[in-house]
Amino acid sequence: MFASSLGVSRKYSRPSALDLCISMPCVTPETDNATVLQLFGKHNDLVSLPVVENDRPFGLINRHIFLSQMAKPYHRELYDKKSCIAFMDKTPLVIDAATSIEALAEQAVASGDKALADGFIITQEGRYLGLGFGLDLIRGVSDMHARQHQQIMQSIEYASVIQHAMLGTSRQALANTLADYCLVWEPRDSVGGDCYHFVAHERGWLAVVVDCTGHGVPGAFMTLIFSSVLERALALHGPENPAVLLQEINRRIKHTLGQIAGQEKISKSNDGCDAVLIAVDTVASKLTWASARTPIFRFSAATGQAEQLESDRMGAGYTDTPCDYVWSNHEIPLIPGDLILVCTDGLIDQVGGIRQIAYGKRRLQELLQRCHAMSMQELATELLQEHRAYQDDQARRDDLTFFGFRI
Amino acid sequence: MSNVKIDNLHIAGTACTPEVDFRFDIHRLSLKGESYPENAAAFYSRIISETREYLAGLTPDERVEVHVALVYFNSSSTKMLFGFFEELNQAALCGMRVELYWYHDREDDTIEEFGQELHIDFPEIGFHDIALD
Repeated sequence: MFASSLGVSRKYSRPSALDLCISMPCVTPETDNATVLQLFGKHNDLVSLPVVENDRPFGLINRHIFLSQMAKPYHRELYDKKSCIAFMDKTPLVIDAATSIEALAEQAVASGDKALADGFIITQEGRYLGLGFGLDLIRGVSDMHARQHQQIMQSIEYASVIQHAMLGTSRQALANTLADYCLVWEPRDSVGGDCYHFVAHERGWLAVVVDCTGHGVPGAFMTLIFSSVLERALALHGPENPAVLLQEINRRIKHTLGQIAGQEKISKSNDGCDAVLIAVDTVASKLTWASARTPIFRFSAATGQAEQLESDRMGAGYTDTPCDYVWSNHEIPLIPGDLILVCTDGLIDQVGGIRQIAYGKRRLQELLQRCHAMSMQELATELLQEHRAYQDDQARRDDLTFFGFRI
Repeated sequence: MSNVKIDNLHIAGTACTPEVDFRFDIHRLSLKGESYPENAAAFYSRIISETREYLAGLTPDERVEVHVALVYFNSSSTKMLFGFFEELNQAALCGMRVELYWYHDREDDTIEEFGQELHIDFPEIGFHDIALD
């Protein structure tokens, strides 16, 4: 009578219905209701009882429905000797053992609450194998998602090690060269599309702050492209002419990604960067910069005012940026006490405050005005604190980088 | 002329994508919310192509209203928005009247400034800066 049948079953390489399969006693259509009643009485934890005919699933008897039917007046007398198919569910969810957990979850949800409450029958090559239950299915789905999430996160964590390593040389050179500076680099998602570069030379130094399109992994890919393109540009033109470097960077990004106007069909991407290149001539006390859509601020020791300096509105590398676009070099003398700060749009555009609007350039300029006497490290701490308080419980929208120095 | 009927386009907003309410039947296109999807090109390509198709079916004397109330958009979205406005600018060059209503919080100089840049970049589009309290 007990046609229990968990035969030899092979495991599948990915999580499948087989992993949820529990070998269960089953009955045949010939089994009478009195026997089923006895079985339910003996096994208190038996929620569902599969009905199997010639190894093939036939139906599923739900404990509560069955017991409440049999409790009705005269039902025992009427049904005790009759086939147990009288009160069974004739269309339970039947799943092949090879079905993936994802597909199984989809079918279970589509079948309504029945499959989750009563369980579902698992078969292999059409033969009855056992039952699967809703709770185990939820556990299976949740375990699988946890595994996938962990895999992605570990991959990103390691990518972050690489991105940090790439920036390490610049960070070191910066620390060795400047006395009063700050640099904050905060990718939104472990890795990001912001990056920086710093190189010192005999007559001064060059600092580059870049916001590549995108954030996260695609953003980080772009920073790698930017980094190699910049290295090449520096090898060709040296570190003293920002506009020429930006022009070279633009050309090389466009070529690397095939983003040449008129050839859009070749490349699906339209990625590039906003960047500012700051060249300081320490001998002549002169600052030269070129900016592609990146704001640059100065607190002027001469005027005692914080102000935004000029930048070009053209980004670098994009499909619609002309190959031969020429950015402007801007030049100002530097005097002791002058403070320069550049940042990516993650700082300016962060939504927050009472009105839930962007942090904005005005607030940043006010902070520079207020904190101009602090050391750059203190100023950076102040700026971060103010920015975090402004952001409050809003989500961080983008990667955030800023670099500042004082003469 | 305008015998090609295009269905209105409505996409509900999410935390990182704007609400899109393009009522082509009454020539009123609205974008509202924030825009920083993981794949901006994927999100905007349909919006831009349907707009292009809609504009192509218009008579040259038609008037189109575009209402944009975006609080935040990232740089990838900015690129796509430029593509969208480029379509509208082209239509305006062909004689259609395109009116852009650019909404921002009165204290939000970032969005206000972006509107002014759009006005410079797409001179054929009528520009209306609307500061909200």
